[in-house]
Amino acid sequence: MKDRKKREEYATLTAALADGEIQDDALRAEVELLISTDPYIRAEYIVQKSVKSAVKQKCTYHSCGSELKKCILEEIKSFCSKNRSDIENLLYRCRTGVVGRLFRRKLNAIKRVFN
Amino acid sequence: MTIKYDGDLYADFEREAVPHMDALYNFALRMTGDSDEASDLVQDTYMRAFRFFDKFEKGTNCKAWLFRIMKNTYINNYRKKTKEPERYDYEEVENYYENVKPSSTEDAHLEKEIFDNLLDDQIATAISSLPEDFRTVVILADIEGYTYEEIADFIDCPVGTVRSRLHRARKMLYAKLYDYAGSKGYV
Repeated sequence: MKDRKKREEYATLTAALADGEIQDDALRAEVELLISTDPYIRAEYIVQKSVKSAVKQKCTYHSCGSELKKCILEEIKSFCSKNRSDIENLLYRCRTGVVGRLFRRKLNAIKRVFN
Repeated sequence: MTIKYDGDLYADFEREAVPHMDALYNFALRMTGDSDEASDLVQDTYMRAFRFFDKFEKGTNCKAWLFRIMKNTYINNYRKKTKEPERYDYEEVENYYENVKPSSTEDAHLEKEIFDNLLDDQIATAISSLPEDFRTVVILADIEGYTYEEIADFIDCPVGTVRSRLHRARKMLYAKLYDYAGSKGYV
């Protein structure tokens, strides 16, 4: 059972070997040795390598079209300006509106008390 | 009081996030399998990213941050369409894989030729039929070409999980491609 678990761990490492992701030289040598001596590990390695290569070769990379890019950026810009005007409107209302006047009156009253 | 959505923030966003749009679109397309849905997903991701861009820590990996937002957006908006959670009979696939995996180096050469005959569409269909977690690692590693560490950062999990998912995903993919090849008479 323990051997089987260990074997499965090595089988998983064949993925890392196919991806050039084993940094430890000793471990890499150990996995490479197993690939040349153990048919089970060799088959696992072949599967990892052949699937990786098939996917890499056959799946074309699709770039985001310039229209979509433009559309996204325009939406962000419009979101930007909408939010800016909301905040500016709020500040304007605070400066000129009833709430703003009441707030300023209260603030002046507090200032007078402390002066 | 500072205005949150100012020109500087937009300029920073354009410099940091916009260069990754192609990579995100390609990932979205492979995840959804549909160009319109992919466009919507990229658009939702970028809008969400911009709204929370003040939370992004400058100097950290912006692409990983965007991928995480896309993954969450995908889960929240797109996976909702499927009412039932994905079910996958791993045992059945593993058993099938054990029966069809190469038994010798000669077989392996033969199978390489078989895989070479498969079309992009057939491989894309096989990838899109994988469970989501496995599909994600295959796309990121084999199509986008990211390292295990980058993928671990993107999907927020340990490097060991990336390795084991990738190992398992390729085995599932092998079984599916072998099946396709069989139905086309290549095997």
